Amino acid sequence: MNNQQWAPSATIQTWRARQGLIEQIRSFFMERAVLEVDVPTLSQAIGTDPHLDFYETRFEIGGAPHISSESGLRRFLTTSPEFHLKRLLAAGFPDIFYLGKAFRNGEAGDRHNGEFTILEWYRIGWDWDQLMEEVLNLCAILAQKSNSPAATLARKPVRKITWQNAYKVHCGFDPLDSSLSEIENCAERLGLSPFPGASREDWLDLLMGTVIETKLGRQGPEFLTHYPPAQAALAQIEEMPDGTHWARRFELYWDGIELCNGYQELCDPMEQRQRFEQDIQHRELLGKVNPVLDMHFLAALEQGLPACSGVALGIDRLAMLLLGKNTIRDVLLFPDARA
Amino acid sequence: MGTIGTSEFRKKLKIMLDGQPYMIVENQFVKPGKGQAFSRVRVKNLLTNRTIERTFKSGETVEEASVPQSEMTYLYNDGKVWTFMDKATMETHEIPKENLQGAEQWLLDNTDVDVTWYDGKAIEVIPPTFMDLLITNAPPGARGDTSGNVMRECTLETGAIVQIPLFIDEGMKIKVDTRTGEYVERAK
Repeated sequence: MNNQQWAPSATIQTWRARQGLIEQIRSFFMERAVLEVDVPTLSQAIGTDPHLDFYETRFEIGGAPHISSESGLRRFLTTSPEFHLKRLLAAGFPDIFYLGKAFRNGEAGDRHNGEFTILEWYRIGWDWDQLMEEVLNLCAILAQKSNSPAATLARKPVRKITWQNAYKVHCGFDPLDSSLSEIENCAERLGLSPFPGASREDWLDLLMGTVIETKLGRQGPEFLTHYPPAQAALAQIEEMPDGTHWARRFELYWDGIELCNGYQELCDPMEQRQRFEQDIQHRELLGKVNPVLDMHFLAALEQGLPACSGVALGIDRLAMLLLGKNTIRDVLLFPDARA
Repeated sequence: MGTIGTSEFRKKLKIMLDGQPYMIVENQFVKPGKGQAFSRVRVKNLLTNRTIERTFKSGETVEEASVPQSEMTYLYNDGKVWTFMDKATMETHEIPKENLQGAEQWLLDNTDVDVTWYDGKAIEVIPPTFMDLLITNAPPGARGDTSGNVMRECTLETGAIVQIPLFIDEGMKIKVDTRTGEYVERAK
């Protein structure tokens, strides 16, 4: 009686509609001369993001575990196609996109599935404003045939809010100079349950995930921009006229759901290496397994990554929004629990 | 009973918090962009039935609560203490009325129940989801009223009071959902 889990989780009708979106996306890029490429999902190195956890396996001959602990035998299911795509750009490829699978360990919920479909594309010579414009274009075209609540929002004017202002507006404190106890008071006012032992960083992440994100993109597509340098990931950092530094990183929120993450890309190999090292130290502090540093990627940056902007979009969430579904399971055939 | 991490959190999992047993009622995974992940859970205290919210950082661990369950058969009561027999060991156990939390109103002699134990005490007694029970008293309804959804009170052989439709009368057996205390249909 209990094994209902063999059957797919999305309906045939939903799957057809989802495939329709995928076809539209491919023709969107074909019309704009952006070339589709394929990159490995199983690779020898992987990103260092402190909060992205990967699935790891090993290369073994004959199914026998190797005794050697050589890092050369480690293999990772990719968390993002970013490094390979940038290696292609450094090798002279034109504007490119990847539409395929990526994997993140430990992510499971109404909006997360460990294996998911990612769309990532790069525009050579573009700044982040140009790329944000193109993201909106794509969303508007995909929303045309849909009458879901999110699709209606896509026809409303876009908004932009900086990371700092998002905390000021939606939580009532300045994330740069508020003390831990001020943040705790705000969290209590906002109805969050106590979180003993939480640091400032913990609270900022929790408030982003529970309070701010749910309020973004409710009146139209909304970009969250200008992240602090510590959250720059692979984005360029810009010095503002007032001397403060902010990353040219953006996320798109649509009806309370985080859909895209993009950067005006960091091209400097030295700074990239420093960020990797900081990430690795951070991961060690968190007690996490450290990845193999992607030397091919660093070598590609030394060869020269052209000035560019790139963005990744979660296809499963996009399908949720445009097909009016409440959970990611509704748009996947075999989500993790049925995989 | 062991240590359990947030990645194994799921509904109905029983865990220890602040030295008391709780059951997870709702588990929400939260992960902002490239930020760290959290599990926000709503948990019900198994001793007081009070529900609270808690936030855990992903990867945190808690102790699993030791709340074994046993299948038992209801035998008899003296008004204060209800006596059950463990179907596996044949031993009898006495459970005070206050620990039954209303389950007693569905029990006929020899009804099988699931009993949850914590620290040697029964903290929950779950009767079968559906029980077929005889109506022992049902005052006549206003027959003229045919508006459809009119219900009236009746008393069942176990003492429970249930709302029934007009066409059901004293002496009939009805099927009741013990989770909600609602009439389902006339028993077949």
